Amino acid sequence: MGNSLRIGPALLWLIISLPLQAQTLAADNSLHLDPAWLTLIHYQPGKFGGGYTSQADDPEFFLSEAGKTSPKAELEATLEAIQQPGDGNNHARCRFPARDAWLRERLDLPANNAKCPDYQQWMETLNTESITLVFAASYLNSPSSMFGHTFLRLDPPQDDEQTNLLLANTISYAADAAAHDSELLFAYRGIFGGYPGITTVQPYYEKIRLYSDIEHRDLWEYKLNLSQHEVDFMLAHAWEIRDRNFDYYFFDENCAYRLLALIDIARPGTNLLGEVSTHAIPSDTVRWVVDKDLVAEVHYRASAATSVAHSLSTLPKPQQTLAAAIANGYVKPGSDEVLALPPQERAHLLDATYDYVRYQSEADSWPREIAAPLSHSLLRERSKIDGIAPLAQPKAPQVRDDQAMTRFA
Amino acid sequence: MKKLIAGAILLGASSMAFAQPGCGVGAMIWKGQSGIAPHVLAATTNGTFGNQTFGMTTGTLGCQTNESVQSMAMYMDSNIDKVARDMSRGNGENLETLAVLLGVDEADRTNFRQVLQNNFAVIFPKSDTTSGEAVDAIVALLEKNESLSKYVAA
Repeated sequence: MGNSLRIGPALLWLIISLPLQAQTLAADNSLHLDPAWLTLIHYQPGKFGGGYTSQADDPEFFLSEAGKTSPKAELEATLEAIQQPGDGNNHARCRFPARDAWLRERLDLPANNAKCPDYQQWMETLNTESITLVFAASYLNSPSSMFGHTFLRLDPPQDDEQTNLLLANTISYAADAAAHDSELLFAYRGIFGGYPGITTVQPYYEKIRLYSDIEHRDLWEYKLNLSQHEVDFMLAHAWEIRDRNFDYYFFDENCAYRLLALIDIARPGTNLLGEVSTHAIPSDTVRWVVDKDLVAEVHYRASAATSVAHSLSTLPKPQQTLAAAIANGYVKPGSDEVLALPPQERAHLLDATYDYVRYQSEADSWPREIAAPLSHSLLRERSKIDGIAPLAQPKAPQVRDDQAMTRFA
Repeated sequence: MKKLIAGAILLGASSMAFAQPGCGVGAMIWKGQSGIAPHVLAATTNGTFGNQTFGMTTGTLGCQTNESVQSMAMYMDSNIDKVARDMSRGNGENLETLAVLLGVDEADRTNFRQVLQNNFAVIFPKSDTTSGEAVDAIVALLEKNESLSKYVAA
């Protein structure tokens, strides 16, 4: 019943759109200049007059030998390759699923599914329903992090208790620095070129460990309002560039820049890259994403440093003194003085003291011989107190980094 | 120099992979990963239980055929200090993650959290308990529990 009713409008649409589709085919000659195609192959107009050059620095990314500088040759080669019979992991359709989907849609080619076991397994493993842009606030001690860092989190469907964001995957773009390079050399080569940039997929908890626990940077999570179709298309392209090299430069082609390109691809016409002039500073890129109405909600995750400051400040004054005494070894966590406190106060005292000791161990390199036994006895004492929820996490600051008035100019 | 080594170890720990099938010490392998994140070099070693977290070579663990127990073991290996913290409080996202990895139903979660909190000293008897030892202790505790034993059945 419902189906037969829908056939009418569909037929009407077909009749109206047929001449349009014929036109597109006739205008085939300019398809390679379609903004969506240029974005998919990461072409940028040449700085001195005409022509295009792709920012991909990896021959494996191109199907045509002239692909790096010729959108037309790359389109023709892609079109030919995806229409070859067969399928399997090495087929062009499986290596470039986003190009394949886009061309088939634009040129009305038969869209039968290709069998791509590796790609399909990858998509199933990532199991992504929505995308969250995560911004790690800047870290003043490190020259290479002055402008913050951004990455994408791939959120699984949120429909049951089995979902967990700590286990969600993240996509980031980073310089592949040699392990022996110092922090300063890293900054230098990042500015003047010389690092291959690669896209990596890692679980979110490892990112939290790095940014929040070790570097003490607050994380801002911007959930994007991309549809399932847009999310799938972005991941299809992420697959295409997964192991491909894009040279890394701190100021323009950096972590934030590559992610903007991914968002542009997910939602054609967004043109976030158009906002980039000479440099893409992560806090600015977050602002552009907000301005283009791409954000559904914002969530704040306090760093270990912010949390410990918060939990200490919520303790009553005498207990702050007691916390300091425990941390410095003058009072034992299981001493009468501590046990005399009512359960809730005792629990919060032990929690705040533990967080402080943990923070000092990492930030101030407290010797392990002192920190480990102390942490252990704090946790043991705490485990004896049932039914007291930990202190609430700190509230998000009033002003986010993307709203700050001061800008790097 | 010390800092650089710490960074390398941290990366190594995070990219550990299980070799299957197999038992015992040889069943765990370290998988090298080239993608180094910019700030790992500036990282310091993890403070509290951290240094001992690489000893995932205790007797039973390598022979655990239950996949969810193996995933829990991997998670514990890189987050042992935070799991211990949440466990002592009977509450927190890292404890929830363990429950998710083991597939514990919502109805059993309160019980799960309570059993782990009450037995903190059994799971972490000393300050340098390894993640492998802690996982073994958790499995043994859950096996003895009537409503939770199904989640660790081999």
